[in-house]
Amino acid sequence: MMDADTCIYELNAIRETIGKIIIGKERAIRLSLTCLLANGHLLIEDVPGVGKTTLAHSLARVLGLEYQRIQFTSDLLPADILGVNVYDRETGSFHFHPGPVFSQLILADEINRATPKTQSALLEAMEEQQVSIEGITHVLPSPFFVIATQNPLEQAGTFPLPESQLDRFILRISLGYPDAESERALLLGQDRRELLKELDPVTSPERIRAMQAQVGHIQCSSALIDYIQQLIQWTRNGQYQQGLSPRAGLALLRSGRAWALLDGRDYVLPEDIQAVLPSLTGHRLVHQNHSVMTAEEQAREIIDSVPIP
Amino acid sequence: MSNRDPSNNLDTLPLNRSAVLWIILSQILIVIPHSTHLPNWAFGLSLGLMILAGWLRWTDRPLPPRGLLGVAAITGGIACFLYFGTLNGRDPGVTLLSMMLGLKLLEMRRLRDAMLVVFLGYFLIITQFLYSQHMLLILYLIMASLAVTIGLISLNDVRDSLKLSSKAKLAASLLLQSLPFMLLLFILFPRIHGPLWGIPTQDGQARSGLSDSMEPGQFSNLIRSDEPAFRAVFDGAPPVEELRYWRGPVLWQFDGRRWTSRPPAPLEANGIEGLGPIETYRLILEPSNKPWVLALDIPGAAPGELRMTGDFQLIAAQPIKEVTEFELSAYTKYRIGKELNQEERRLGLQLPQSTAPRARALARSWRDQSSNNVDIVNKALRYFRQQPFVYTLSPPLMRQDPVDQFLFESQRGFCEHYAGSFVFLMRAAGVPARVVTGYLGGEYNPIAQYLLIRQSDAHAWAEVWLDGDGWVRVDPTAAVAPERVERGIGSSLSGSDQLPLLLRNRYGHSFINRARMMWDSVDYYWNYWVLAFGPERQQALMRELGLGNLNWRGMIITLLVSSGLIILIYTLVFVLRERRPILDPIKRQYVRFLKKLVRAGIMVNQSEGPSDLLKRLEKDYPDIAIEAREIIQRYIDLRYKKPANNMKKISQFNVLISKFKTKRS
Repeated sequence: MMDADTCIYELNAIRETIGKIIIGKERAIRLSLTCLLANGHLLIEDVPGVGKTTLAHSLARVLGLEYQRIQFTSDLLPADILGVNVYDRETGSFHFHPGPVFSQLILADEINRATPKTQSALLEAMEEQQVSIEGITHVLPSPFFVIATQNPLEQAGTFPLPESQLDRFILRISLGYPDAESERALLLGQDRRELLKELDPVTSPERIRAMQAQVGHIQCSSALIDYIQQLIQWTRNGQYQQGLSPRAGLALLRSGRAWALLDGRDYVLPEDIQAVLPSLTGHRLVHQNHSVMTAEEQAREIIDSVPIP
Repeated sequence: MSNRDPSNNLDTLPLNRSAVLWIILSQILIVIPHSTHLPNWAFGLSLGLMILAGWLRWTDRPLPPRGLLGVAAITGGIACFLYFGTLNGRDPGVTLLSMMLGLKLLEMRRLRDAMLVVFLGYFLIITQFLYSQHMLLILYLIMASLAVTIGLISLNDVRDSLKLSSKAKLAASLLLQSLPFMLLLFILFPRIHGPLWGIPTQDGQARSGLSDSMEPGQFSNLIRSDEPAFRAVFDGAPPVEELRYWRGPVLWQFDGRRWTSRPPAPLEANGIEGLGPIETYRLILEPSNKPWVLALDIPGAAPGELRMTGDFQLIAAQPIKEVTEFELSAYTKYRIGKELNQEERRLGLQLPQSTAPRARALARSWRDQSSNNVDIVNKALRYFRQQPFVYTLSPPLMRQDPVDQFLFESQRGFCEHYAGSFVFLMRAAGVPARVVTGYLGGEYNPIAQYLLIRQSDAHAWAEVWLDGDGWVRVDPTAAVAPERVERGIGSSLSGSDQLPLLLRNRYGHSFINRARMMWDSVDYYWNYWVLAFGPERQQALMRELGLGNLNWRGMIITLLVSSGLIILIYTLVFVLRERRPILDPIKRQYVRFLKKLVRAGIMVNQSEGPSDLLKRLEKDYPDIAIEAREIIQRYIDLRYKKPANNMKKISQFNVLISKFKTKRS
């Protein structure tokens, strides 16, 4: 068990360190950490070259996590991710050869380019925290944090993730282009790859597990539960193709708690819920009339329609 | 099944102590104003019984046995019958009711008894209106009904769980909810002429400064009541002070002591000739139990419901027993009386046999020295002016020969003495004359713009017949005390004459004076809008509301329909309120805080969380943020931090919000 102050101190150190690599993306970094603390998985949707991989990589380094990158392609097979049983001549038996999924932090790059079969293999592993191959269950390491990236859906030759699969990622963020100042700093600074190599871990997997446990102790009053319930209820009013699921509600609560912890508080405010709401609803809610709205605009609409009880 | 359990039957439950005590207290409050008209023994008895009941209950002593109470009730009924000679009518009824209520309190054991007492209490409140409808009394009775209602609520609060303040709040809101029904009944309930239920108004209420006879020297004290006699609202400016003569009974016959009026005489045709513009005004008469309508001298014409006598006095068909309003007109410059008929000449010169020899001698000497009647009048006025006459409200009694005694010995008196002796002198000198009684003056109320005439403004003056000019008003009092005419009675008295404080200060302290004017305006509006709201006004209001000429049947139907509508609205409001979620007390206080911000011109968004609001305040309204920070942080603590809140923290939070003030920029 870790006391709250140490926890907050370490989280701040993590944010600062990553902030040196990914310039001008504090909110994205914070949301990524929220996702990690909430014991969920992160989906980053953006055009290539804005630093998705760098973010994932630096997170892995700073958190001291074992890191694997899986490049998803249309010919990638489930076994390429999960691992295979290989026959060992010397012992005369099959021996499990773990795939890249047996890692603490996985970057599933361009997940929407793989076939649905391969996609679901990863998503099931994410959900179950374990892999079953030929009747034998292999437990995945802990913490287990998947960062999947995907290019915006317009691009050809992709298999967009269905809604049910998207729901497995508790948050979806996009990095976007850096602002002018950050971009200048980026151009003037050192090569990011070089910087990454120099990064030292600020924390350890054990401590991350402790922090994840700490999230469960963040105070959540009944007034706040009412607020979450009313927000979710509002998305089920027929305006969207489908409203938020109970799983999404639980995710909202968890990520709100994690956000509050990152803010150094031991209780959740409506503001925390409002802060994570865009990343939570962006990939879950589709307007009935397919109106094009950014995740922020959509979340604003919900927030403005539901008075805080 | 559960009905068999005796504890479930409300009627067998013991009454809760606070309910019993409240009911007893409220009954005492109700019976107190009845002290003015109940026979003393009956009032004392019922008040005593109530206090006894209160004491027994307070000290938890047993109530007296039933049999004893039964005997007491029969005795009380017999006493009442013996006192009044009947058990019918207003006074015996109210007396009996008050006594029985006192007895009932002594046998209030079960819920049924208590309910009966509560409803009898409400009824006893109503019976007050059979005696007086004064505004202050009504305020008092509203308080009394609040007390009874609190008793009723306590009675139903079987577990005695409500605090007094919440009971009072509930009672007040119940009374407020009944307000629309009260207004509806007031406006729409069919009205009849005359006092409620034809119960005669008794003398207690009808005090007049006037009577149909006068006896100077007989009474050493004049009515000095500052009760209002009537009020007049002029369409234009009110007449100047010297012309504010309000005409009452005209007195002709004198027997040496007493002046009385003549038998009713018909009005001569074209008797009134206006010499100036006609003035119209509204007269709002207080009940006097007399049919006299005190019109401004001289009335232009008698409106439909009134009759004008041969003495130019306006008379109503019935004695005035409630506040009544008349539309009148008057000429302040006029000539009255075309010709003096035989009867009037005889009465106008009538003198009693062998009284006041000195006065007769004096009059005769004036007669001999004068060439015409105007000269005689002037001589008489000069006499009053030059001799050391004193205007006083407490002259010595004059038993022997009041006229001579007053004119030559005491020379102290008030208007009656002056008017009476003046007319005597005129008649003795051969000039037909008569005494006119009425009121003089009136105080202008600048707030509500009316003239107020009090009982103490009662006055008597004279009219003499001058050929060619008709009956001419002569006020001998003016010769002695001109300020009585010009500025009213309060200024014409010396210090020794005791007048009620408010009258004495009439021209004194402006603050008291203004407060007095305000109070009288309130009284005026009460009279005008509530008490004088008779059948005609009701019909006029109906026409204005577009309901046309409603008969009583139509009114009852309208009444029922609108009552139904009000009940419907209430039901809707209650149903909607039930549906609305009940706000958490902390949140309710926070909303109060937000409203204060809105009043200070700060936009508030219901979707904005408290810490975001604080950040915004710190950025845009740094001066407000200092105070707001404490409130917002406490709100966050109470609502989001610890699930267990203690009452002390909540009340501190409430206090902070109550204190919170924003300066409008």
